[in-house]
Amino acid sequence: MAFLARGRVAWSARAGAVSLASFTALASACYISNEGKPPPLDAFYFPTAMVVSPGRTALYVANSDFDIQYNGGTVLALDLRAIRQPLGKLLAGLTAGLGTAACSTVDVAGGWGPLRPNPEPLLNPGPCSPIPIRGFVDGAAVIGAFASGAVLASSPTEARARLFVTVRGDPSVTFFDVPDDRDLAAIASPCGGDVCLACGQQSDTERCDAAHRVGDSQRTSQRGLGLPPEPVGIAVSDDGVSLVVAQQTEAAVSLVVNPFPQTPAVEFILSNLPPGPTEVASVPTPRLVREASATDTPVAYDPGFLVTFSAAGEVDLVRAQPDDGASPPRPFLTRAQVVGIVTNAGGDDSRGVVVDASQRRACEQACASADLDCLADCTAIPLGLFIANRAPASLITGQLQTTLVRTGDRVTSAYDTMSVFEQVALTQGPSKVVLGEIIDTEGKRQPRVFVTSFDSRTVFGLDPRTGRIDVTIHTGRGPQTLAFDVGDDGDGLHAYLYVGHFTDSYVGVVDLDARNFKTFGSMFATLGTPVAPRDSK
Amino acid sequence: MRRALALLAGSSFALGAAGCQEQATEVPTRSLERSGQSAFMCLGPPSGAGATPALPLEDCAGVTANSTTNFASGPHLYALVTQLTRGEVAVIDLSASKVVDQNPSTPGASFLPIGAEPVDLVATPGSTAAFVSVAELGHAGIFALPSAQVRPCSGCAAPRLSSWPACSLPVAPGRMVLVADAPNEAGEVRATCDGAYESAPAAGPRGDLGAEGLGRQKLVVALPDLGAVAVIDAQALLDREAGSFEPCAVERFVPLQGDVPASEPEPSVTGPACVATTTLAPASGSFVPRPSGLAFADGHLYVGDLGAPVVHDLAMATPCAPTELDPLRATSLEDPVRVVKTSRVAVTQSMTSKLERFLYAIDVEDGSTMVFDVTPGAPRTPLQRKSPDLNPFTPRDRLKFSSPPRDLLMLQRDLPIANPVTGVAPSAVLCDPEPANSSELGAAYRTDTSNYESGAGPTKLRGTFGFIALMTGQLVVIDIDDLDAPCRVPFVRSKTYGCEVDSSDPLASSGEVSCNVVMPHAPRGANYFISSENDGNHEAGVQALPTLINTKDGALLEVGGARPRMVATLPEKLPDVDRLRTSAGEPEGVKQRADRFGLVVGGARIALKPDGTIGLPEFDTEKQALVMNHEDPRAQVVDQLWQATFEGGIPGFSGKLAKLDLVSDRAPGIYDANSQFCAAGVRSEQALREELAAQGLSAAVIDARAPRQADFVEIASEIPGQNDPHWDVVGGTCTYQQCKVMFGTPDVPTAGRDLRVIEAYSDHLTTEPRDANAPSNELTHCCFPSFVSFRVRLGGQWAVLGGRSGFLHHVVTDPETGVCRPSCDPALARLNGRAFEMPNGTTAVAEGDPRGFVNPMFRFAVVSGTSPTQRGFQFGFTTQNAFPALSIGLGDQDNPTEVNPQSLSLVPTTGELAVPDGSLQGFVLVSTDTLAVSRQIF
Repeated sequence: MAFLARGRVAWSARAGAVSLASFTALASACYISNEGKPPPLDAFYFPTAMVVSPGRTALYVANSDFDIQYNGGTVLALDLRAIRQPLGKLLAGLTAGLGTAACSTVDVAGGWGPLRPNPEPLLNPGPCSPIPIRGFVDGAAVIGAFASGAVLASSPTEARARLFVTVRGDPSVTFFDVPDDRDLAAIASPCGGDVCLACGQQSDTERCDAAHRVGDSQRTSQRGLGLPPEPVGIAVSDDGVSLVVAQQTEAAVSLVVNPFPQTPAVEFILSNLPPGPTEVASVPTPRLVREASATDTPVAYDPGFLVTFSAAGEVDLVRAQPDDGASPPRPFLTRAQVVGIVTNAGGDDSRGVVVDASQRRACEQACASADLDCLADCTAIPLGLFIANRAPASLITGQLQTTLVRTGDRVTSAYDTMSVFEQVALTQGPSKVVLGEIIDTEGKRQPRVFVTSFDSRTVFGLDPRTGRIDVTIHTGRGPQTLAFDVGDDGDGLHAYLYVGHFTDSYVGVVDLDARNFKTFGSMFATLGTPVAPRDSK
Repeated sequence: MRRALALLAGSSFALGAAGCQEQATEVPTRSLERSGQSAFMCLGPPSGAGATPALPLEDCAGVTANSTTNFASGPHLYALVTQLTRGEVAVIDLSASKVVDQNPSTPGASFLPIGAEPVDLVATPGSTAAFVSVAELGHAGIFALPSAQVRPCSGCAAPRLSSWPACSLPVAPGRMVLVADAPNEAGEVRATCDGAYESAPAAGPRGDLGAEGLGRQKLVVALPDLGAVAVIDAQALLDREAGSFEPCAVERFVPLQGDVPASEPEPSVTGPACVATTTLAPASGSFVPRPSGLAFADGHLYVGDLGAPVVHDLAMATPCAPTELDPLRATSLEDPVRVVKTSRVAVTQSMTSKLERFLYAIDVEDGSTMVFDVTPGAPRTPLQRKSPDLNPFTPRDRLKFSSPPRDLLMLQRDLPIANPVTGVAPSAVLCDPEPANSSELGAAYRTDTSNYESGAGPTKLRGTFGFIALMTGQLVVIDIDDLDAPCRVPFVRSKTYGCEVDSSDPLASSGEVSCNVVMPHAPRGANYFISSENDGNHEAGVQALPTLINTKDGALLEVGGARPRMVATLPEKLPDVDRLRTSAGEPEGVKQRADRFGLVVGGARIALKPDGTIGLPEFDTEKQALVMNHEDPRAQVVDQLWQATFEGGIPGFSGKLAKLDLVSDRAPGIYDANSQFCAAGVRSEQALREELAAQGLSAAVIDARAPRQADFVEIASEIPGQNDPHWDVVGGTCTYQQCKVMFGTPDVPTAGRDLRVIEAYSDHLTTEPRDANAPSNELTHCCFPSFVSFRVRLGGQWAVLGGRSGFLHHVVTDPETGVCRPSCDPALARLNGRAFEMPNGTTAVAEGDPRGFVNPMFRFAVVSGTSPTQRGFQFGFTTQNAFPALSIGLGDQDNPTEVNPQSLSLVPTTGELAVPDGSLQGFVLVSTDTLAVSRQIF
């Protein structure tokens, strides 16, 4: 362990240009230590994952400590309601045509004074100097190095929420009990505030305890499993119970079961997959299945997850099966379908993946709970499928069709069939794919699929209705992770896109309100002070 | 460890140092990025840029960098190419094969800025101007690019967004085409659709489109969000002030019809013991139209639709009077209720030799291409292939490839030969294979069968052809109306070769072994479909004759005697395929020569005897045999290993886990929705009983065969481990040792693991023990308490599996009952993966005998030996010479995956096909003469 610490320092001193790939080998080194320099708890440092809470009160940011300058990464919980105050003010000034004069209208709390015109517009595009985040961080914890992904799970039956972060350095899935803000009038907090996180932090170091590192101990697993190396992508089922984690170097995905409020555990590892599992997306469960489960005619359907691969031209559909009826039940994963990436010349380097259920959801919401025929009809609406692929750079479009299996007059089960059939060209380095919204010129919320192009400093927004890119956002270096904040705080609808910039360690804020002629699709604010990688300063 | 790291670092340095000594690799600078659409202009010599005339495209024919006579002083051909990320239009001097830098004073190549999210680009035929539609949110519109401003000029400012006249649109525009409002009989034109005809309406300083002589040119623009197309006067837009962005003046606004009336479904095919084909009618009702691709020909504008299942047909004798006609119905036989959405469309500009006109349309979500006959009076639904049963791998009403299509293009070309007497070279002359017509001009187009290097052949394109650019970077050639097709047939026609007739009259043809080597609206083959000393071995066959092994020990089994034997099933009337030629190149006389009917094995063609066995003396021992199908060469989809295994398994269940439920209130069986048992081809005992009854067999025979030949489940799971907590839970119901004895292991299973499939459904199989002495359901449940892995095996039959094709079958889910049954659809009849044995002593088995096996690629029969066939006996062979579709790869060797074609257009003066690439290939040009990439500019 001591050797690794020394090696880390030695490497840091000689590090060349920082790239995600260059750290892959180092990342598998497993260690947790309080030796060395503690990471800052009021700054971003190679952010890799962000999550906005359902009620938009918190922005969780996982920082990866990618050059191992510190003795761990961090997860920060930022007060999003507070952040929106200066953002709204700044945007109002910009849309009013004040230009950089709008910067001085924003006086950042904490004695930082007003913003100034941006001295580094190439490093962090935007009109003004960065907004320091110190005053907005309401919760922080230290985790292992090389955080990769994050997902928030909410209990469907009680007011509980957990944040799960994949950490390659441990390796673990580190989890946090966080406030459930789905009901803003009654935020249920496990940690004493509306914005906070709890992972058994040690009081002196703020480091999460071992009990919050899923996979760290094999004792909690019914099968005695630990988490394999290199956890990267992660997704959670609708019920918050099943999480699937891509194990990048193991040709495997893991099943983590999260039985609120008990401790989550690794319950199964599905191996012999193609090399390079990368990202995971959850397949929304048809409402028909949920409603029918309460009747005497249940519909058999298990939670599904899509897995992409960085070294195979396919996308896999795996299912989490609860093993009901066995004694004792031991959940597992099966590989239900494999679909080749037929839209791309290579197709063998897929990254982000997302499933769009918005149209089916809208249909289902119009059905009464007991109206199973209505809900069955809604399953005919396919789910949209979007995959970032680098061979060549493109955003692939497909569908998931749900088939209801009928035996006689009764629906007995359902399954999904995946297909990919379209793609749009992107610039180099497509990475994350996220569903979001913009506000159109008429003030209506419209869905968009956003994809980052890490290498070419661009975020693209695709209209899933037309299949065409109509938003092109030029960012700073290394746009890595995205989070959306669309809603109305009583002062009118806003649409902000937070872009986590890996390379220079800050979060850019993009205006996605097309009514704002001057700012739409551009970074208008910077959260956190950008810090260039040490050897590229 | 530190030392190891130091050594590693040192070796890395050494490698780096060695690299420095090598010659540096020149990395080409790529200036094009995410190219989209292209259009072409012919402009005067570059030296006079800014003041040189716009010229008709044909004036640029033959001007290349290699043409020393007129390269410097002659006109140059330019391609304008949209750049999607930069919101610009790049200009490429095609005569010089280089990208034009609009502002050499700045680093990198500068282009023409036209606003974000460019959608489409068109140029006038006389090169006066180009027009670009852009879809930037809140700034949608159309920019006009006068040709005088598309090239840099000395002293001119670099072009800016405000350099162009433009107009705004309320919504994002889609595709555009230019259609001329023709002059009246007096040669007068009207400045607006509602204006009066006058002799010469005034034009602005940026160019006079009227001078191109077509009349008043109109931009016809799709407006997807409004479900309409708009007609905008191109000259009026060009005449606007530079930098203007006032709303476009729409002269005609045509809301497209979204009401699709109900139509009759395809007639249902019914039959005994099978599932009738669907009676569902195509999707109908009210849809919100979303116009997509546009194509114009013969006064008709065809509009693809991403919202309604139609291709709109607008009569547009003049763009000022558009009238929507009965649309083409975008339907799918495979899934009639699906709302088929079409993106790009292409239409033949001229009639074919049969006076037909065709439209191709991309079915987006199916990743396929529909073909419509748009000849007046033709049906308004997609064309269907004749004899779809011969190649069930391709939908009968579509063209489908391994990758979805990106764009389409129709090419009509000819390579006329001059009449030696008159010197006249008439066009559209059909190749004539009739030996009696050897002096006719059509005979001059015949294949030279002495060397297969000239005349009618795969790479010679005369007639009408389709090109489909696939997303994966291939350009596939489609036969539509090949003028040489009459000569691409066997010397002697036979129905066995897919010919319409059996004929004894020899032809002076290419001698290929199928009458469907060239088939309208089908992929064109890259080779002669023939096994010839002169042209190589391209006829489908096998690499070696089939062998029989016992998979349990890998032993090779002798042919005949105690062992089963594979024989070819031949037609009762064999065709003459004698390839011996006279010195004049004509076939010899025709006679029945059954011994010449053969099979290509490796590099040789060997004969088959009428009894289906190998009949050549060089084989001193008996061999297994089969025969290939040649009716449609495209059915030979891939070279692959085939294995026919007695009581072999149905693939697709590996990795699946099903709930073994034998003791609940459900019917005993295995349950798993993801296994999709019908789609996998499972046949239950009940299904088999129905099939045997339909064959007229007696109840006694059925009772004897059905239980034995029904599929069965083999449990492949281990029982829980000896220390598993399960044994504590079950108490004394069963024990580890008891279960181990009763069921064995997956590697050494007992018959207790076999469960006969009584009935099959998509999500479950009801079962009962196959072995009379099998354990009870209760005991089986106790030993396998949870989900199990499993195999499904064929009972008493041979499972025929292709290494790539898998297990072919035509089992579907009966929509009425949910059970798995064969489809009645005759088009699927050759999708078979089950071969029954014929009694020992059976002699010749004729083609078409229901006891024989046939799939799309080959056919055979298995005759039992004198000893019972054992589970695991396996015939094996590998097919060769699969049909190679003629295609052109657009990628390069250095970056094979970095290709992403975006559109496809014809370069009018060079005959090349232009493919802007969304990845790193820039602008790719393909020669229609050589059918290879001719140039690549980036």
